[in-house]
Amino acid sequence: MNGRVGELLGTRRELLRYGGYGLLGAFAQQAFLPVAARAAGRATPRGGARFCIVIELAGALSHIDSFDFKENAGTQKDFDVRRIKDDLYLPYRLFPHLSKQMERIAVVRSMKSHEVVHFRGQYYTQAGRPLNPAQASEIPSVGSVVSYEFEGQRREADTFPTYIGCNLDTAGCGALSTGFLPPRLSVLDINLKNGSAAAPADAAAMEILEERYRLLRKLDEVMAPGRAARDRNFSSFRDFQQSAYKILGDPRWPAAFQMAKPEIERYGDNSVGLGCLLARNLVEADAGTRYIHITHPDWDHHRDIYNHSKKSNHYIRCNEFDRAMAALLDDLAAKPSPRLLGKTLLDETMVVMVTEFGRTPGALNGIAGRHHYNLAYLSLFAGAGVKGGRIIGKTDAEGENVVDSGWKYSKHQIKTENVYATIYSALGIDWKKEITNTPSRRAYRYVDSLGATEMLIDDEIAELFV
Amino acid sequence: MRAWILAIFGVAAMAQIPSPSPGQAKGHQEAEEFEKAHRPLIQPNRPKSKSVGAVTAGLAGGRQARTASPVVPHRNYIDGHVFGRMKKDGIPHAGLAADEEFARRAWLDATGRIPPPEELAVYLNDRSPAKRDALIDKLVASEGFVDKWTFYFEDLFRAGQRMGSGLNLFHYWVREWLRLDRPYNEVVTDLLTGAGKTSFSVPGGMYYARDFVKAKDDPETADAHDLVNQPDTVDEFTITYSKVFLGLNLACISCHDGRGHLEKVNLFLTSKKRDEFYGQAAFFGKTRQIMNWENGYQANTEYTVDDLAPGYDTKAESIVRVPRRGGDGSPRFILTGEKPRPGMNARDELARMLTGHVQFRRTLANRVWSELMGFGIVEPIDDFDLERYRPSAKLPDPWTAQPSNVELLEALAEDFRKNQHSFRQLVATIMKSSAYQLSSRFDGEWKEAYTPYFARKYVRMLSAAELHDAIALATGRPGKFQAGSEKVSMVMQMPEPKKADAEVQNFMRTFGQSNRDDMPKKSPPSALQAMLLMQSKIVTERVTADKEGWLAALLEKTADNRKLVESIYQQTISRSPSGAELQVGLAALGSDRRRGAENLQWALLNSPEFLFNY
Repeated sequence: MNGRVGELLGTRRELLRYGGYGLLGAFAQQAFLPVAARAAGRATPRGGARFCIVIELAGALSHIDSFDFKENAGTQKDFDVRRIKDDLYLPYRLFPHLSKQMERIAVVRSMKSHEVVHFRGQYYTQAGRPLNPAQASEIPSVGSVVSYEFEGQRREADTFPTYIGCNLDTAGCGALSTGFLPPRLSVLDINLKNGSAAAPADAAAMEILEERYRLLRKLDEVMAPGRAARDRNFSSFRDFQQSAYKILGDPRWPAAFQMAKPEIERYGDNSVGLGCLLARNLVEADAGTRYIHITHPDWDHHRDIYNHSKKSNHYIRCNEFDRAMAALLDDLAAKPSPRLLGKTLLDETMVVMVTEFGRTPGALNGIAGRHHYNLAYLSLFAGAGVKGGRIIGKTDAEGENVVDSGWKYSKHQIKTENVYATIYSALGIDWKKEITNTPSRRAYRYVDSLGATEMLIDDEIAELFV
Repeated sequence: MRAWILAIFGVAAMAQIPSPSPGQAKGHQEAEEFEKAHRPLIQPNRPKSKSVGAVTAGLAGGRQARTASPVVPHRNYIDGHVFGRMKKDGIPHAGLAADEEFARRAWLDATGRIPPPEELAVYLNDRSPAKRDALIDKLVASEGFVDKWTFYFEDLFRAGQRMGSGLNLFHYWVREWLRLDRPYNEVVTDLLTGAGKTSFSVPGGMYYARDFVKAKDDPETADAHDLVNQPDTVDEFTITYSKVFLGLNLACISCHDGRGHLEKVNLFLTSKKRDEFYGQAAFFGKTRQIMNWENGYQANTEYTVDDLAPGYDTKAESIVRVPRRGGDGSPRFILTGEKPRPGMNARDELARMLTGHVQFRRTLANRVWSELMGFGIVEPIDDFDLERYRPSAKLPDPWTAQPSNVELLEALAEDFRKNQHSFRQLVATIMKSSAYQLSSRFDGEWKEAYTPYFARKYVRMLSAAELHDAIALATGRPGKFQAGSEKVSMVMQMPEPKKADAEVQNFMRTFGQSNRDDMPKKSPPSALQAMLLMQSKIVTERVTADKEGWLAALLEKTADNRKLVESIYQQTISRSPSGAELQVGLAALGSDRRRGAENLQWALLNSPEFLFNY
């Protein structure tokens, strides 16, 4: 590894002398990619999670109508609010399944975002850091950093990509790129509702594909001498074809997409339901995929948030998410780990719900909805050693401001950065590492304490585990 | 006040300085701590590096073994600069591309299409010595040229659904100026100026109208105009158009002065103050986009544009960037400090100053060069560092000059000016140079150090639209799309690719098609792309040799298997098979001729020679 990195660095320096910083833009990124991470802060990751599933409620969940329930003028009569335990109340009408599972789930209620628009907010949740346009082109998604970290752990039989996305194409910022990391660490984004390219071929199609792929390789061999003298990008596409073919040809791939009707009903035949079902299958298959980011779109209810007659409203989205996450946790908890005696798949999987910010507390606005709100919102954690049934942080009576951050940094609200520090930590990754030889020469810290508007705590949320 | 936001922004501030945020005043000390921590991060140590001159001199005079380069003719001034530089520095280069290689490249670059086999055959059989120039002249005068570059400029100008009912009009307006080869400075003047209704009288006005917030999503708000004309939006638009037309990335100084932040990022911008950014933004400070409201909803997506707002407010509240703390809100051109003449419309004056400045011409020349040659003479193409532009500039260590060949870019910009800003002429001139016509094949050991000299052709993957349309052309199965009320057969001819069906959209997205909201960017290759090419219906259904389509007809009329293989090669990858390839092809036809032919075309559609412009 070191030798290779050294080589790359040599080439890079040589090139730098020529065009200076600029030339690294267009072509150089394809030609070579410098990567050498070094531990900067010596954080001690707790480990324990082999997999991580992030469910992103894109458009922003109304915190005060869900896991930080506050009765107010906007509260609907049909919510059927029930006390789960302590000060955890949930509208049963919205969360009938998760209401029964809160013993597995920890709620972090003291979050704060500096973002208040979706594009930037969703970028923040995928990149784990604020959007900085000066650097954006070189910033990888968190999933690609995980892929980079786990590349050395991939086994011969691992054909699935380390990082799989579901419906990232529906996010405001789309699926983020690998930035300065090599394209092979890219997300494979699957949208089961939208005819994804990655969905497996059926047996007949696979048979033809095999025949065709063999022919492609044969033609490739006879063309090879002529190609060797050409630009290396010309032939590098073959590597991607090889991994694509390996994935499609692995019987575990179509198996992961096999979804029986009762199961689809249990998870919900919608973007988050199918995403969670696929995620469960990928975890069970253990065929290389370690990190899954599921986008659940269409939560942005500025208008008519509780209008049952609208195609999209808070009831529908909450019910979808409720069903999907509950089924996922149930299944993971029911399945023994094939690796660790006496443990379940849930013990090895961190499941996290994130959303870009909250929604305006109090009465509904003039168009019967809730706008964006960033000073208090929440996320959920389960699995991989997270102690369920607990609440971290506390907001005031309206849910407008956080009155208790709920962790050891009492003056600091919890940020997206801390969510990812926790995920990295659970996955056994030192989140204080940094990569210094980036194209822009700005250090890339896995979790950056330099926030958009203030210095941040770059620690994990240890309170989830004790 | 609660922080709910009605705006939708693509990007905002770059490095943000701490500021009091709602409900949480921050101590001065904390701000200082943040600033301190900020600096080391954005001023990393750079490795000592020699100047371009020093290194090239080393290569030229030292132990570097000289490789004899193939002789290529100097076709125009471009070759003088490109080969002159290589000769001086002892850099070897590739030979000229063979006719087949050149022709496919020329067709793709000029028209976005792979060559029609019959036209290609005519060209290959032509014995005239001037046939390359003749082909280029034919291609840049064709409707294909209008298709390809309309799509290119629509990506660049982000012509999408935000343009609402003005989109189709904008589309035909772009086609029209490309077809007529209107001077590019006039075109950009149209984009930046004009008042009236965007859907009818000022199609170019859609370019800026699209960026203005679709405001008033909330009838509680008293006055929609405040939102429509808010300075944040003007800032965003200023950042965008400065990238597109001046190659400058002003994002950083839209929030803070350059000093103390950009010393290691951009020397030119280091000297710029936020106040100067205000000056540039202020040209649009009086511009209003007035929408048509009914019952709290936007009734249509037409805008009335005028310049009757009070002006750019340097103390206006900001939603997405560091608070404005006041300053000079009068329009001043960022490159010269020039102010509008009294009594003149500020946007008219901006268009005059901007299109009259050499940086405007450099930016376009560099952009077109980058499209045709693989990357710009200055990279990144929308982040010039003007301090590092002049060859004579004394730069602080370890900075080196930014352009890889400043004389070349200056010559292109000057030629562009002399030709009345003719875009078509610029494309043709570059394509006619031997520099453009070099082979992607380099015999000998290639060194990365040769790259900035453009010592060979750099391959690029076809764009999403080119690739989709190439598959349709190679299989003789055109797409069915709508452009306004017109039916078209290529994605490239659509005003907005998002209006294609889900299958095509998914394909386009996977191959990096711009969403037309952000600036277009290059997308790296991926396994997902490979999967799509292997099993998307866009490929598999098209290679099926049933009643319609090219392959079925070919099978029907061609009894000779050898001819069959040759035709599939020519039709798909625009060249004839080698002897060895012919043998593999013949073997593939095997027992099931139809299935073999389908497989062969599928394999060629998946081969690099189809997927890349080489």
